[in-house]
Amino acid sequence: MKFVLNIQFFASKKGVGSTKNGRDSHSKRLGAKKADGQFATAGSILYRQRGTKIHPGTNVGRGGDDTLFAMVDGIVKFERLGRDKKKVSVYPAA
Amino acid sequence: MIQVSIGMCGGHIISLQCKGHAGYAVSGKDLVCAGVSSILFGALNALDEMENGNAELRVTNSKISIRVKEDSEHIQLLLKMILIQLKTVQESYQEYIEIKKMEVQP
Repeated sequence: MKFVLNIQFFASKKGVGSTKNGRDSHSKRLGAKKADGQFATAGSILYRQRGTKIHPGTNVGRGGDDTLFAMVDGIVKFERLGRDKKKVSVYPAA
Repeated sequence: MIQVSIGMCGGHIISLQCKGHAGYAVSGKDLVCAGVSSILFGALNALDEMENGNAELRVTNSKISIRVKEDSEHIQLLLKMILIQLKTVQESYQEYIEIKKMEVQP
């Protein structure tokens, strides 16, 4: 045959390749769970984190996954720790 | 949209031109384009084999044109069949193919 069939002769732009991206993990809802000045009961979670973005301060414990939690009932205080770090403390209400 | 222009003279088809993009889907998945391409490439080969030289057949990168040089009942039969095939596609996919007839001088 003289004319070889191009079955997509009248097609528009060339087929675009697929992307290898497009995957993401589920978000873990990290961050502060109590605000500065808020009342927290003993055992309540103050801050979810990976590593120590915020360090444990007075009356605050650190869990196995670096979660910070109050060890006493009291008011939450976010404070500086040294030159460039932060910590969170819980001070029993007077 | 694929544009099909039919040149008529005294009720006879004397030219057929087809250009454009169907736009039904991306290349490789465009069904309307596949249908129209099959009809026209089949027509080109039929005219080339059965009407040797009575029709001028031209294919450029996105346009196919057929022009009758020596008219005959036989060639009109072939051209009318091609037109009916294209109309059959158009009946189901009007947004992707448009057929226009124009009266032209021979």
